[in-house]
Amino acid sequence: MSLSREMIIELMQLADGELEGDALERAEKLVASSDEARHAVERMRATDWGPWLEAEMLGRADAAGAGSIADAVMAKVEAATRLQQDRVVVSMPVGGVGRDRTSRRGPLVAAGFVLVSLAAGLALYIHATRSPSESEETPLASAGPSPRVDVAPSAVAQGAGASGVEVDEIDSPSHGVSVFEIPMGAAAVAGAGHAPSVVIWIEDEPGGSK
Amino acid sequence: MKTVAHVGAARLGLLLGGALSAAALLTGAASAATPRRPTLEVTVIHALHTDGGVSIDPRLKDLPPPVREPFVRYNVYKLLDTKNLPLEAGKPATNVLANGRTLQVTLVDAVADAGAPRFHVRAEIGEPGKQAFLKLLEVTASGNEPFFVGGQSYQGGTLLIELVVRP
Repeated sequence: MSLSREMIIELMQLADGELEGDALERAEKLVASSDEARHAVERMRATDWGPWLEAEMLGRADAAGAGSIADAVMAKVEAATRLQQDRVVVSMPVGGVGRDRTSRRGPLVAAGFVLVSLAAGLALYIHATRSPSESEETPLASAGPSPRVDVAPSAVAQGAGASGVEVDEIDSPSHGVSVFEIPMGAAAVAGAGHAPSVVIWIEDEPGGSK
Repeated sequence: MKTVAHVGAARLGLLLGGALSAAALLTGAASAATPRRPTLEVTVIHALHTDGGVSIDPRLKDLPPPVREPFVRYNVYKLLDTKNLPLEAGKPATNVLANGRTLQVTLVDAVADAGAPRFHVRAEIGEPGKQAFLKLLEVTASGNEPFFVGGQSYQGGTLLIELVVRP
């Protein structure tokens, strides 16, 4: 490969008819004296000169030691592309892209699970160590805005025997509901001995009525 | 000396007395056989939170001291209205509240439990053309046992309704 880059460019200009004067004379001499230059011009004038030019340029790159680097880079790019295509093709029938995301979020999910477990443990500890006086101040049953509240047996304010008010069912759409047990009569002051009652508290929106 | 007329008058008196006594006995028996209809006492209370001290209308005898939830949220309790509504199984008793909503209470049944009846009542609070505030509340209580329904917004405070079945 004896043609220099400048020669190739000049031969291309010759093939395109762009040379004049000394440059034209010089190029014609080169074509006349060198078979390689002549072949080059012939290929350039033909329609399929692209592969020759590519081979010519790659040959120069190889000579400069850049071919192995370029090949290595291209090989990596192709391998990565193939891997990505394979992953999408495999995951789509099962669960689409979501499955791939899940696998990537594995550590995140595990961390979330640990946090939830810790929070649940803390809630259980607080509930177990809470004093009875605190529980008296909280409602027996409480629910957010829901279509229907089936009151648990614990929400029944029962005194001795059959006395006491039993709340069987509450349905208040779009309103939060709480049931409070309250001591009645002398029990309200003394704290014992009288059947308790209940307050059914339904959260109203501000200005919900006149 | 008794005449025939005297004897006739005495007999007539006896007959009349007997008839009146029998009528009185029958009336008494009839009234004993017909149980008294229970009534529902509805007390509407306006609860407010103010910067002043505690003020509770003295007529609100069933109201516990406002030291616990949810009563502790308010310090002024005013009596707005008290009504006695006849309760008959399956027939709703209606009362219009101060906020324009309607309270409707129906006696579902009364069950004798150890001699004292327990009243199963169903309550609703609604407003025409709007979604029901309280679509359904079912409570079982003995006679003279009050329970409360609260939470409705009203003039900067809340409406508290006390319900008591009077046997």
